[in-house]
Amino acid sequence: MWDAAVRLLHWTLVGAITVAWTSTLDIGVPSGWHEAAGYTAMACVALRVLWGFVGGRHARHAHFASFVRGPRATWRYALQVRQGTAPRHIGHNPLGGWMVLALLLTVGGIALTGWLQTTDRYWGSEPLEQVHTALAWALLCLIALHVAGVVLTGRHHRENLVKAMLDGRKMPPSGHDVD
Amino acid sequence: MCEATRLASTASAPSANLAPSPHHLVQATMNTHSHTHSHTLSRHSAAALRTFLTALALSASSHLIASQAHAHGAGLKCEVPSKEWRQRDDLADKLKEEGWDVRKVKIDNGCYEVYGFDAKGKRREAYFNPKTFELVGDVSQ
Repeated sequence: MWDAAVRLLHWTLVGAITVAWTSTLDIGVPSGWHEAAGYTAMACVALRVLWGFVGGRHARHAHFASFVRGPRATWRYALQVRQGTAPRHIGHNPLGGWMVLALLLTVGGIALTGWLQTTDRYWGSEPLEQVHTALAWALLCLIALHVAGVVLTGRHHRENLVKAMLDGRKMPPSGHDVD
Repeated sequence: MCEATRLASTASAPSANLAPSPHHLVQATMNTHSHTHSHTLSRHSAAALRTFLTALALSASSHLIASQAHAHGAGLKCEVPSKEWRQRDDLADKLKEEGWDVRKVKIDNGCYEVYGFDAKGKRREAYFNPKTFELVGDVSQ
């Protein structure tokens, strides 16, 4: 159900973020890789946004229109999660959908503030570096929430969602599942 | 709603949700109905995506090779006991007197790392010895 583009972009982004973060830590990942990782991440975000609007018919679950829900539906889903009655979604559930947007926006913001620091105008800009760093920490928190959401949702519906992002397969919808 | 897969799953396994087994798996590529986008758009987007990804891989790898050749601050090191360090503002003032536009002074590999533009207007990321303020070297721009 996850098409090849979504999966490829997801894991490329995971790799890019990992390299970008570790390249700042002096643990053996060359700091010279930081910029390449940033451009890669930016490209992943740009392509994912493009795919979210114009993805082909095999990418139904990738369309923003299919998973970005209003505040009311999202709130209702959140309450269902708390009660343990949340229906299974084949694509993103409403909370997951907002997490996707939050992650894409944050990575985009990090890439933008990072790139700006390579321009003459913002070369060595202290404020931009601070925003860049703050967003990078925010991203880390979002990723922790994202992974927690994936683990808990997967456990609730007894399926391996990490595997679904690897091979694109999920159990078909049944009962009250939302496809 | 994905009617075909729903029918398939309810027909073959009413309790698919409770008893997962591999042959009940479906893939997006098997759902050949109820989509708003045409074949042409799909093929078009897929081709565009492939081109994009190829370009991405190429540019990322060339970037990597280039950045490894001038690894960020590679070999730019200082070893000065902390007691002997001079104030970073002193270094900034000295460089400004020499005509620099100093944007930022950080510490890296035991050196002061200065971001700015030198007297000739050249963009610099230069490492200085924190005791002698001698230039150690530049990260290639």
